[in-house]
Amino acid sequence: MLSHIVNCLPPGYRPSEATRVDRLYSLVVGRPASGLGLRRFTLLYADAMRLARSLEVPEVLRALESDIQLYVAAGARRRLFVHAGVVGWRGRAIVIPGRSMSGKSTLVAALIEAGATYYSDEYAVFDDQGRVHPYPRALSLRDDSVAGRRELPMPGPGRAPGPLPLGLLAVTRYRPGARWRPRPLSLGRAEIELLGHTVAARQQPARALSVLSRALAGTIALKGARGEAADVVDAVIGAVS
Amino acid sequence: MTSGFGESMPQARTTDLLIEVLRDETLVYDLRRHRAHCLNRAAALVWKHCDGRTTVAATATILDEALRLSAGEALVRTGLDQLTRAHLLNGPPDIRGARSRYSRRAVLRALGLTGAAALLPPLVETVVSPVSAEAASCLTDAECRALIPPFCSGQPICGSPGSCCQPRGMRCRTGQC
Repeated sequence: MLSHIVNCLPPGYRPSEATRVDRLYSLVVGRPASGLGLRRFTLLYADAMRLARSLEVPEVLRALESDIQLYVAAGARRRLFVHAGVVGWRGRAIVIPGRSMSGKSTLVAALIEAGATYYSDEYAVFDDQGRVHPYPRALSLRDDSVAGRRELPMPGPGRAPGPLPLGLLAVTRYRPGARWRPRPLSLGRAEIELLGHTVAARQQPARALSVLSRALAGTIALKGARGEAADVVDAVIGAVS
Repeated sequence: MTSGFGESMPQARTTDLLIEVLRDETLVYDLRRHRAHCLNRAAALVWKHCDGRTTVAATATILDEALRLSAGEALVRTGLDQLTRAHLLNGPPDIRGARSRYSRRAVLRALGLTGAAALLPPLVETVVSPVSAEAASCLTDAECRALIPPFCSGQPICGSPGSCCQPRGMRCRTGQC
């Protein structure tokens, strides 16, 4: 069970000796069915509040993973989390912001196939200088299975890559049959596009604007619907090259 | 298209806003409504002159000179209309409500003739700032049902665009957002 819990922790986590914590999670794992056929719920608490309850342990672990991610992303003081896919290409980051199911993970996978370095399919993590840091969870692609998603192992072993300046912001979503004919975005429009996917935008708007403005300085920003990921990879890489 | 002589611009709203001036645009974050607005150069100029004193006609002249256009009051009226919709003006309503007289088509025609493509409407582009959960990864329906309020606060549901996980009584359920 502990290994499953460790898998719920965000990338780059480190054990800590601290005796005071910001948030305390408690997991009570339900026992298997007894002789009477009774099953007990698995329960998850965040501080003193019950967060999730289910007979299925994986559902509760998913709730744990999701809550930890959001808690870290919304409360980070030295990083700004933007919901986006990220790859590195020749020393620059390609950031693809988007809500769930916009097809960003598929495009990230296609870019990796073309030789880009995997940074994240979940968050673009900006520091105060506007550089993008890796957040390399296992790449998660949606499919039609009951679970609703399929996890691919994180590409490439070895050291986590370093932070990169932003090279290209590609605001796009998958539309069957669409042809990738993006229009350039002005700096201001690019900034509000990113702000629309920033986890802590409401809690820290001034900081978000300042970080995003720094990140976008001198960057190319494009917006448009796309068709199949494989068909746009060359154009995306060409734009940042 | 001209207005009555001396008709004054409304006053710009100044409270609960974060303003960032870029080279050709102005970003405005509305702390009350959690909306971010990007004002292009024309809209930013219109907003700058919303002081309750400058006349509409004078603003139109200033705009035409600054942007090298001859759009006249149509561009000012369109700007006022879009600034009103973005809740960035305080009043008065007679000027803010004048949009029917100055259609988008009229502005496009005026701007198109002068080749000012970068100034074409929308003059104000707006995005709604997400609550944290909206910017999160999606959950399956079963994962949503495992949650307990208030921890379902709008997480999207996998494979079901437009649906999110939200409280229903004492439980979390998938619903339309």
